[in-house]
Amino acid sequence: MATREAGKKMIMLKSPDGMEFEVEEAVAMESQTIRKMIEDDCADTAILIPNINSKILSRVIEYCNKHVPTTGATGAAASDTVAPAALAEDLKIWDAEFIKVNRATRFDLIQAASYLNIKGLLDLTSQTTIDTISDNSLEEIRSFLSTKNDYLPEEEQTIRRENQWAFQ
Amino acid sequence: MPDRRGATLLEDLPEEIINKILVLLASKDAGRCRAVNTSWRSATSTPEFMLEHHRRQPSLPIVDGCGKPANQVVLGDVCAGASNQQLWPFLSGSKHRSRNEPIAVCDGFLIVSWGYEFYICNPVTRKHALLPQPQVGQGIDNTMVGFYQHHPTGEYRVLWVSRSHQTSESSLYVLTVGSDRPRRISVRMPTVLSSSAEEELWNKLIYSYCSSPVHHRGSLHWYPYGTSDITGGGGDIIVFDTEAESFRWMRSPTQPCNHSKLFDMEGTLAFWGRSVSNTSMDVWEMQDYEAEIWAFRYRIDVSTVEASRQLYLTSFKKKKTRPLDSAVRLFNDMAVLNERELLVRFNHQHVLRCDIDGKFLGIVNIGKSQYRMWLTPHRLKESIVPIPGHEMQEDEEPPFSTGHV
Repeated sequence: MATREAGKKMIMLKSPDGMEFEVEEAVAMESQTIRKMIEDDCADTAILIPNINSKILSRVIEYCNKHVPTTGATGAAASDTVAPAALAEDLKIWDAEFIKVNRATRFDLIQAASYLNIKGLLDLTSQTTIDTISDNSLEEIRSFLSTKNDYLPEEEQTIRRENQWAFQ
Repeated sequence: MPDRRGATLLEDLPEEIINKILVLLASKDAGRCRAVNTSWRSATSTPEFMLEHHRRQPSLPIVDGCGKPANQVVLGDVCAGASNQQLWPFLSGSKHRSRNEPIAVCDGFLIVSWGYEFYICNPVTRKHALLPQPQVGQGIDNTMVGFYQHHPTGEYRVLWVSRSHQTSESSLYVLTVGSDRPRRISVRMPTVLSSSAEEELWNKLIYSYCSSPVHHRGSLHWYPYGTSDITGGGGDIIVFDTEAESFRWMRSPTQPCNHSKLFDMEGTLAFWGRSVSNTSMDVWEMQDYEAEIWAFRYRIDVSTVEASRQLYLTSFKKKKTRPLDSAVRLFNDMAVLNERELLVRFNHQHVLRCDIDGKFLGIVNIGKSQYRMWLTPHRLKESIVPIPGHEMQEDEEPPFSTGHV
């Protein structure tokens, strides 16, 4: 968790299941949603994060902690930043480990990243879904992503024919 | 998000989030996932989705592989090797090569000519459609001089010059892709040109097809070959306002010469000029479009690139240095790769990659091999948008191949 340093402003994040997380303001501000709350002075001592349970919230904070130094506390958007190559490489390895979670957790993380507006985390979590779609057959995509096929067989054939270019 | 552990399904995610993910897919995957289920199909089939998907694709230079391995190649990340390069041959053999080069490209659509016909095609979805021509008949030549998106309507339009040999008269037509009939437009210019000057304007437009106009701020810009100023001092760049549908002129940053061209540099109008000896090249950028003020951006000298290439060679562990052994003695042509990098053709077959400081970054290969190649003025920005007016078109066999290699 966050290494607490003297002089750093801390923020309390609360999950709906009652857990509280004390994080540096800079870490919390990796989330554009929280940043806006803080900047608009809507955040007093604690911010309740609705819809995100403590398990997922703690993972999100873990991600933000890891990524905060590279994006910088003053950066406007957590977009492409010019981190030294080695640091970027280290982060990449860390991200790859971080995202080794089960499917349900991944979808929870996607949703959390989207709600909290953390671009890096959303990109990371989305990318694994994109890779799943790119690398697998339709049947595998449905199975890996737990999404149902609601086409009649002939309907599916028609769609495949209409989009033949994508299957060649 | 359900509280039950591990119960979240992709389908539980808000539609908005799923759309955000699907829009990141490669074109082919976006097409393929339409067959996964009905909701993915509708998500990936809306015009908004397809436009956003298109917006996110990089604009990549098209090179001409001279028939081996392909006639038209979209160069992806040239330093990353074969995997990121896509090839779009328009005919695998070289027999009919001259007949099927793309003559115009706009966003994800290409126009190719085949015999006397013109086809618009989307090389990603492999759809094509015949384009109606202004006037057809004996002694009439139709030349396509521009292909652009009309911003107020989003329509794709083709600009034709139709010339009758009998009367030597030329007229201008605009075809909206998807409509049956080109619309004749009157030619409006800032100054009345003498008939010989007007004749020359047509010639310049007709013969500048291989330098492809640059679309910037709703206008097409041609820097035609030939140095004579037909406008009586108005400028050497021909500008066609696609909204007002009128011509005007603009001045290039230097004295008119044959070794120059206009190009689009990351959304700004830019001008490239070679020295007469072909040993240096200059790039200007339009700084103030209304006031027509050009700013000099950079100069690259052959000697800088050659010195950098020598250095590159020595620092390179010698493996296969054959293609690198050709010294850089002059510049033939260039295309922009990105903000910092250029492709430069430096002899009859080789293209190198360098940065704007003249630092040599490598020789460009197609796939893993060294092929002859020419730079083209065209760029492709992939799209899965259907050809307007041809959404329901069946995949009939085109007269040319639009497949991948």
